[in-house]
Amino acid sequence: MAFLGYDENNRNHRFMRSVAITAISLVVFLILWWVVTVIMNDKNFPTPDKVFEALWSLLLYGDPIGGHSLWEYIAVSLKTFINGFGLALVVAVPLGLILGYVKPLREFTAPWIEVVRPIAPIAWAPIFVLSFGSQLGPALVVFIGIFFPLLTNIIFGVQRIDKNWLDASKTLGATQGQLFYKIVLPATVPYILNGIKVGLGVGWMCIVAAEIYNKFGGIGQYLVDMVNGGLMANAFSAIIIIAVLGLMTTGVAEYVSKVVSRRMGMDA
Amino acid sequence: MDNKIIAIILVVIVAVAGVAVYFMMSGNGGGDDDAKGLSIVGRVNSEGSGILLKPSEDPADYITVTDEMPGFGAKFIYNEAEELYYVFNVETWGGKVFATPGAATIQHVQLMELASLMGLKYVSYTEGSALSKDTLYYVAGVPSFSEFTNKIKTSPLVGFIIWEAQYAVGVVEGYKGLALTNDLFEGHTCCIIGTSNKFIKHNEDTLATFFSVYVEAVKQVNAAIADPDSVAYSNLLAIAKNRVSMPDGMTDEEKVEAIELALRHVTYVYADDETGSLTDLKSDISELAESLVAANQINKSASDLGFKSYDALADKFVQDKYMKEAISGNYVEPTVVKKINVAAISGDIHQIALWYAIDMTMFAEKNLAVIVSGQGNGPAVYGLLSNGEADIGFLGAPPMTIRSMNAEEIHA
Amino acid sequence: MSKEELVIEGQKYDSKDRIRADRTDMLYKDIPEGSPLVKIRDLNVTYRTDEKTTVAVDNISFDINKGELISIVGPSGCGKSTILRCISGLLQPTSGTIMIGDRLCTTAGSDRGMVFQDFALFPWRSVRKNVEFGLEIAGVPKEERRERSDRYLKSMGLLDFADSRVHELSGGMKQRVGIARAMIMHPAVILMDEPFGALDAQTRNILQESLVNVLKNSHRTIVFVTHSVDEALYLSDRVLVLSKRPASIHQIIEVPGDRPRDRGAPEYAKMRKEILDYLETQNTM
Repeated sequence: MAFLGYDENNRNHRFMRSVAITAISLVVFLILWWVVTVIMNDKNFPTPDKVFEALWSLLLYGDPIGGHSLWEYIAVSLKTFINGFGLALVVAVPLGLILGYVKPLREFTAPWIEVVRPIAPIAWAPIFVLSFGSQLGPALVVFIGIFFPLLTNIIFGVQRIDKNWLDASKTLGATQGQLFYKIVLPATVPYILNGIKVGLGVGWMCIVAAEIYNKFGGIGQYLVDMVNGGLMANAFSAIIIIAVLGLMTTGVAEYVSKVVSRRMGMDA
Repeated sequence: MDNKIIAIILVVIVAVAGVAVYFMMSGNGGGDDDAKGLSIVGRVNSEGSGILLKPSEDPADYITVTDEMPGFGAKFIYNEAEELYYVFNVETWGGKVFATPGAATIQHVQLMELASLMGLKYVSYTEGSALSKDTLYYVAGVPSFSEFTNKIKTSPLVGFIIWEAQYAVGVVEGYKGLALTNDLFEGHTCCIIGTSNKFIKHNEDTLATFFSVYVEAVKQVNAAIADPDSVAYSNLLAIAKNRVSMPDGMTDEEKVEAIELALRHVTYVYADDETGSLTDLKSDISELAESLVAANQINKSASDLGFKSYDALADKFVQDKYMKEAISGNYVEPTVVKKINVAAISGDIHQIALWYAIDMTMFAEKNLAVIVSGQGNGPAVYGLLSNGEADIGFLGAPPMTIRSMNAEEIHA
Repeated sequence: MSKEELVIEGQKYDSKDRIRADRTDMLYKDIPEGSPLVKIRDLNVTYRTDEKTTVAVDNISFDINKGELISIVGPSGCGKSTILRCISGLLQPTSGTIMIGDRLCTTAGSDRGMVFQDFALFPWRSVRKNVEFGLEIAGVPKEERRERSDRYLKSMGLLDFADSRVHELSGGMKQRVGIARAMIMHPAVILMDEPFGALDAQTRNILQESLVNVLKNSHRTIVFVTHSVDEALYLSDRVLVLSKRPASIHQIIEVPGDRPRDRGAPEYAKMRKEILDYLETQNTM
C-alpha cells in the first residue's frame, strides 16, 4: 500500500488503515446482504434498510406490542445472563482446578463430562425452566452453556502448567498447598480468562433458548415473538442486538484477558 | 503459492457457491407466474374459549353479572342473547397478570379488547417488573393448562384465557371459571380454514370435495352433541379423548367430564350459514385487521397493501366460492386418490370436526388421502401454509390475518 | 507419561516431609569443610516400558564434599541429569540411598536448591518476587525478605530490574535471577542442571565468572551438571566423568588451582584432552 503516502511505521497511518479496512468491509457486507435478499426474494428475509428501520424504532420507541422499551428487555436478559455466568464461574473454576490437578478424579469424572457436554443448552431449556422455575431455570440454561467450555479450558490449563515451575517450587520448599496457591492458581489464570471469553459467546446463544421456554420477557423472547408474528425486520433487529451484546461481553473479556495476561507476563 | 492461483481458486469457489444458491432459491420460489398468496376459505368454529382464575381468586371480584343496567362510567359488556350485563371491576383487574396462548391468538386479542374496554394498558409481563394498577399484564405463549399451573408457581399469574378444552380441564381440576368468551363476545369468530392461492388454482375440485366431506363431518358432530345418547356421540367422545391433549394426572372420568363441558361451549360451523356464505366472516376479518394494525401487531395497513379500505382487503382475502361450490354440489370428485396435506393445531378441540372426519374415514370414501400435521399453535400452522408444506390449514383468524398481512400474502 | 512414573520399585516419598526452611546449610555446620556432606550409595535408576527395561544409572556411589563445586560430565544422555534429579528429590531412584549429613534424602526440599537450564522463572512474578519466592515459602517476614533480596539483586547486578517482568530480561539475566533465587535460601547443596546450556558462548563465560565471584565470598556446596568440559575445568574442584548409559563412574578428577583460573593454562589443556578423548570413545561406541 504505497499509495497515498502510507507509512507503515506511522502509528496514526496504521490506525486509519484498519479503520478504513473495517469500514469498507462493513459496506461490502451490507451490499452483499442487499444483493442476497433481493435474489432470494423471500418474505422472511428483509433487506438491510427495513432491518435498520426496525432497529432504530426499537432503540427509540421500544416494543409497542409488548409495551416495553428495549432497555427493559435487555435488562431482563442481562440479569439472566449474569446469574448464569456467575454461577458458571463459581462452579467451574474450583472444579476445573481440582479436576486438572487430581488425576484419578479427572479420569473418574471424564465419562460424565463427555456424555453431558455435547447436549445443547437448548435441549436442557424446557427441563430447567420447568423444574427450577423462572429465576433459576433460565439462568441454568445460560450456566450450562458457559460451564463446559470454561471447565475444559481450565482443566487443560492446569495440565499445561510448565512442570519446571512445579519442580522449582518444590526445590524451594513449597508444600502441596503452596504449590496450588502460588503456582497452579496464577498459572491457570490465562486459561480461565480464555475459557470465560469462549463461554461468554456461548452464553448469549443460550439466552434465546432460555427465554423461549420461560416467557417472562427479555430480548430473546422478543425475537421469538416477532418471528411468530411474522415481523421479520423486527426479529432481525433483535438478532443484531443480541449479536452486539455478545460482542460487547466477549470484547470486554478479551480486553481483560489481554491486560491481565500482560500484567502477569504470560502473554508470550 | 502463486497469488494468481489463489485468486482463481477463490473466484471459482464464489462462482460455484453462487450457482448453488441460485438453484436452491429457484427451487423454493417455484414458477414465478403461478398464483401467489393465501386466502381464507371457510370457518371452523365460533366461540369456545374461556377465562380461568386460580383457585385462590374470587370471580365475583372481577366480573359482576347482573340484569340491571350498570351506572354511568361502568365498564361492561352487554350480552343480548342472555340479556345480561357483564360488569368489569377495573380496580381488581388493574395490576394483574394473565396468561394467553400466544401473542397472535384470538384469545390474546380478546383479552386486549377487555383491557381496552377497561381503560387499562395492555403490556407484557417481564420478570421482576413492578405491577402498576393502570395496566393489565400478559404472559403470552402458554398453550395448555399444565403449563399454566407450572408457571403459576413462580410468577404473579392469576388467570388464564385459553381455548377449549383447556378451559374445561381447568374447571374440572378445581380452578375458577371466570367467564366464557361466548358470553363476552357472542358468536365471535375463532378458527378458520386457510389455503394457498396456488393450491386453489390447480386443485379447485379437490378443495371443494374436501369441503363437502368437512361440512358433512361438522353436521354429524353437531348432531352428536345434540344427542348425547347416540352412537355418534360416544364415537365423538372417543375421538376427542384421543386427540385433545390433557394433563396426565386426570382420571378417565375427569377427562370425559372436561370434554363434554368443552363440546358444549364450542360452536362448530363451516360458514356463516348453510349456503356456504362467508360475508359475516369478511366483516369480522376487516374489523380484526384494522384493530390489529392499530395495535401494531400488523405493520402493513390495508392501503400499504394496495386496498382502498379494510373491507376491500377482507373481500379479497376471504373467498366463499369454494365452500359454496362444495355445498351446492358444483364440483367433480376425484377419480384417483388425491393427497392433501393439512396442518392443524393438535390437542385443540376447536378442530375436532376435522379429526372426526379422519378417524371415521370420511375422506377416504371420496378418494382423498388427507395427511394431517399437528402443530402447537396458529403461527406454526401458518408457517406450513406459507412455505407450501401444507395445502390447507386450520388456524385462528388472528394468526392467519397477522402473518398474511405482514408477509404481504394479500395484495390488491 | 513422565519418566518418573516409569521407574519401577521406586519409593514414593511423602511431600509432607518436605523441608521448607531457609538457611538449611546451618543444619550441617558441624561438618568440616572438605569432608563428605552428601553420600550417594549404590544409586540405581531403572526404567521400564512395555517392551523393555532400561538401566539409566547403574549403581553409582560417590561423595559430595562440603564447600566444593563438583561437576558431572559425560556423554549425551548418560544420565547426568537423572542423578541430579535424584539428589534433588524430584526423582525417586529405583534403589540406593542418598544421605545428606546423617539424614536420608527423600522428597524435594529447600535443603537442596536447584537451578534449571531453562530458568524456570515465574512469569507472573516480578524479578524481585521470583528471588524472594523461597523466603515467602519459608515464612520469612516481609522486611527481611526485602533486605535480603536487595543484597542478592545488587550482587547480581539486577537491582535496576527488581520490579521488571521476567520476559523483559535477556537469557543471561534470567539465569542470574535463577541463581539468586536458589542461593538466597542458603540450601545445604545447590544443584545446577546445565544452567548455562541455553546461553551463547559469551554470556556463558560472563556468568561463569559471576559464579566464581559469588563463591569467593561465600562457601557453597554445588553440584554442577554440564556438557562443556571447559566449563567444568574452569569452575570445579572435582570433576566426575561418567560413562555412557547405563552410567557408571569412569573417573573422578581433582582440578588444581585457585579460582579464578586461567582458561588457557597447559595443565587444564591436558585434562581437557584426556576427558574429551574418553568421551569420544563413549560417544562412538
